[in-house]
Amino acid sequence: MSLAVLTFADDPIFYLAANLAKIVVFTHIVLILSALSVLAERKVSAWMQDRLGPNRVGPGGILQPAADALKFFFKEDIVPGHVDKVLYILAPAIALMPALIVLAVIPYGPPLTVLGETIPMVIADLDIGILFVFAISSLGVYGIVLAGWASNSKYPMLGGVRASAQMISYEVMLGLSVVGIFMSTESLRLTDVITSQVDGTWFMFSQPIAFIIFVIAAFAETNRLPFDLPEAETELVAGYHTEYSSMKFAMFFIGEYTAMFVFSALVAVLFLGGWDIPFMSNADFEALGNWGTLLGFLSFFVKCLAFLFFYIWVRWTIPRFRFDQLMNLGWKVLMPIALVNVVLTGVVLGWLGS
Amino acid sequence: MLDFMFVFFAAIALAGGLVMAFHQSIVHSAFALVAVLFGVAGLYWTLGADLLGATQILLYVGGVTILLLFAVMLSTRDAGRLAIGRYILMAPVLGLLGAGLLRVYQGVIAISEGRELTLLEPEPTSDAIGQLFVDPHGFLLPFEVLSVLLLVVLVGAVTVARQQQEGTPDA
Repeated sequence: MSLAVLTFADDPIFYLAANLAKIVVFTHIVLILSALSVLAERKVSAWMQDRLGPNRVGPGGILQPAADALKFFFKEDIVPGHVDKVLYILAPAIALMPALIVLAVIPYGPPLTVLGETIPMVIADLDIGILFVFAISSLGVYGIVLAGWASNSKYPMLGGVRASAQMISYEVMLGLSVVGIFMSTESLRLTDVITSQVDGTWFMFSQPIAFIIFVIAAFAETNRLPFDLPEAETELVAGYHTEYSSMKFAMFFIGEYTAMFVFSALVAVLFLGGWDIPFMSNADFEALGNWGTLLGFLSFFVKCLAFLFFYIWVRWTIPRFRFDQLMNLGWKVLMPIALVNVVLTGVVLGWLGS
Repeated sequence: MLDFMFVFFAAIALAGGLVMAFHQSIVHSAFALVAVLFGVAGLYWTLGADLLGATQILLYVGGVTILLLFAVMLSTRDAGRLAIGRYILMAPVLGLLGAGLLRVYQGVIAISEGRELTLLEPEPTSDAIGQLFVDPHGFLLPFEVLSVLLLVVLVGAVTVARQQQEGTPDA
């Protein structure tokens, strides 16, 4: 039994309420997870270096993020005299915004049925989903570039210049790597990508080259080690956020971890089957009804958290690249491979189709 | 709702345009350009051209303007302040352009006057656009010609950059 998807015309008040609920719930889940991933970062790094890590606030240090947030709020907010005030204040907000907007098109689970109406577990199921994701996530670089420029100081400036070069380059790989996926699903809609994986194989296995390129580009886009050149502590003090303090600094921090979650979610959606559980088909999820939604929801978040762990794991394992190595890797290695992958996918699809 | 969306995005685009044209600092102007492009993308979306809107943000906001900012950041510190005399020179050109635009609007109003306007539910455009790009009777030829043109530009840019590198080893 499949019911028609709830639209505005059916029941405006219910539609608005459902959408508002989705926005509030999903945004909060992600923001809380990104706060906890800061704690996870410290815990995992401690574990890898045979230390204990934060363990004083709450049981096992679980309340550490709350204590950090409180500390940030009470710190003095210093605006240095030599900055460009308007852009300096705007930059942290712009750094956080794109990551939050992208959350709108990520499918978190199979549709939920409430009061006889089917509600998709995605805030906006756009036809051009992936294009929207790339369009909005390409705005992420503005926060960094503007922070670097507005700080009017040499280390942030260098960080900003590095960030713009790096993020533009790797955006290209990010976009090219997933072309193969959309050639085989014949749709840009993210829910279609997932349903095709639920019944078929995960794209991690059928598009392994794309998977590797996407993961590398995702690390570069979020400025994480081994590609954290815009904020390399040992070279640039703290890069673009050197001149920031208090909650403005925390905004960059939240932005970075939210972006990490967004890219983990994208990897889960595009390559790990989204809400799929191995050996379950779309019909199985539908048969289970709302329990299927819950299962799918959990499966999706398990995948996201696993990839977040991978992010942290890599950070504490691999040293930083040099800038020329970063550019060579991007333009001379990953880009040709991504293009070959597109052609290869086309040939295989044409051969299977004929 | 549609009216609200239109006014909202048009206001963003117009305000951005004013800041872009009249701000003294070139970085602020470049950033105002982002607002303009974003507002225009929003207008595309309002009119149901979702693919066009997303592409506008992806290419112009995410790519071209960043490159512009990059160039400005590398070449100038805050020295890029424009002299006011330039506006005076620009005034007649802008006046002519404005007059032309007003004439176009007059034509549009004359055509649409007295007609019944119906609101259509916008449909996704990506499928139809994709079909047109590979249709020999559609836009296959222009599409391919454009891609060759872009390739030529790319090769040309590499050649120019390489010549400079060889000509002046110290630079």
